Amino acid sequence: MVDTQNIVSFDELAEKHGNQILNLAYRLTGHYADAEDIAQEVLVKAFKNYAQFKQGTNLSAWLYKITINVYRDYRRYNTRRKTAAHVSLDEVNSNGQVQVPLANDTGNSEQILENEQQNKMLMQTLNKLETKHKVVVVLRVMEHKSYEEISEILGCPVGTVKSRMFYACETLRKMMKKSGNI
Amino acid sequence: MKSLNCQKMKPLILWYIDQSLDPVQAQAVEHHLRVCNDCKLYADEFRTMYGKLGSIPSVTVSPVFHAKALQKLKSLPTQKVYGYTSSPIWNYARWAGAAAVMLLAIVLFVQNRDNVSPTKQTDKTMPAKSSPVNINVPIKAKQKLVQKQESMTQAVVVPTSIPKTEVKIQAESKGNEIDNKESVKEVVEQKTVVTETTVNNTKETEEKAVQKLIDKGIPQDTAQRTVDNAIVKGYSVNKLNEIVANPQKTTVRLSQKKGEMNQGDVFKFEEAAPNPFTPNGDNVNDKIFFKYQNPHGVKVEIRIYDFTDTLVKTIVPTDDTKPSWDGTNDNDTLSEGGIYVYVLKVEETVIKGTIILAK
Repeated sequence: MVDTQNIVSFDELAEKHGNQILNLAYRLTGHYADAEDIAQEVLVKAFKNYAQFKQGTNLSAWLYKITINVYRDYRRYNTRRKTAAHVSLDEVNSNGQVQVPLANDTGNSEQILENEQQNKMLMQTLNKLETKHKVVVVLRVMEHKSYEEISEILGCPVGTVKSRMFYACETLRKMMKKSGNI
Repeated sequence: MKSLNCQKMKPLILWYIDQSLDPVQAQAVEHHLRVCNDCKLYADEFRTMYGKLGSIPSVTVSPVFHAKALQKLKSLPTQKVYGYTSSPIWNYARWAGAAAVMLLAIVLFVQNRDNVSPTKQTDKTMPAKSSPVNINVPIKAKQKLVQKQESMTQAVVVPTSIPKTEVKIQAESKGNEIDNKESVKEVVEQKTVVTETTVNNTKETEEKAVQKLIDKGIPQDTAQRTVDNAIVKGYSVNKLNEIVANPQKTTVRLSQKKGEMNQGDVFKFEEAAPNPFTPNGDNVNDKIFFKYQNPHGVKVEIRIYDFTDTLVKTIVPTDDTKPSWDGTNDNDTLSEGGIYVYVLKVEETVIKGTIILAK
């Protein structure tokens, strides 16, 4: 299954890149449980197909690519079920079922609640974008990737990425302005 | 940098906030933002949006994340993660199924075609080779013309009652259609072993046949020519006897001139002239005349078709008028210029040729 020259330990892969993949999945889905599912599947797929990874190239970009592909399947499946990816930042906490382990969980409870409310609105707005536009915004604004890196991850020219970025931001700006967020 | 209008500045503002502009462009945007309040507002909105999007917190993996991932790895091939099937085995099965259906369809198609083709072959009693035609007419009309000539050749020249004999027909049409000088040459070859005795074998039979024809009132030269023709074509004795018994129906042969046929001496088509003709009312070549000899006054019907095989006009000649066509259809409307086919039907014999109508 795995090329002997390209052997990688699953634990090592999960340890090093688990958080990175989970964060991208979480920002794409806005749903922690789904993001964990996606991240786990990405790790399994990456481990299974590690022989296909070209040594010396960007492993992080390869994992991002897999994550985005798995996310596409996830979104398509959810769209088919007519249960569009639901934003659960607020829902999960208020139900008390799953506590999202935030990395920078600081400040008083009121502030946290307010932030969560705001994040929920943002994610809802972001979810209205097409996948190809949403992915660019997430990678650029949230993951702070350069346009060249995004181009490598998505396999399309830098010009296309920039054009998608402008279109996505312009749409987002209009939607946020309409809802009074900016 | 030249000053840009606000619409063109919008993407640059985004990339300025994005910090992906080169210094020269960034400087131009800064300058524009200083002088344009609308764009400054626009840029502020982008900054706020960027700030908010960037403030979405990071998350860390839960304690059970690793264990769950391992569990998924152990349960390979991966099946339902979000409720959909992603097993590669299932994908192969679907492809294999599709391929099998395609293969079955092809096999059925081929079998069906094989079942049909022998019937078609039996319908063709004599194979005919395509004739090379060199006429200055449109390709479609040329093809139709060739097909019509072939069918005419088969119908007239090849007697269907010749058993176990392969006859090869080569028809060649050369020359200019407009000049009406092309001729059709018929070469009939007997290729396989003829099981029946042919006329060639017995000179007595030949003489007897000529005599019998003379006895039936056929002139001597016509009788001799008819029998000679049968010899050339390699007719069997039985066939010759049939000709002798019923000379008017069976001694049909294609003459040397295209479109000209004889039915013994009963009916003789000469030509359709002038061809081309110009029905424009100037009293010059306004009609095309069909010239033939019809001493016994057998019923003749002339039909004119255009090259799409649509009947244009039916002409039934009377004894006192020369049959002609003035270019009109059955509604007395003048037809368009082009190539038309005339079909002259004399009892069971059909004579075909082309007409060019020029305006």
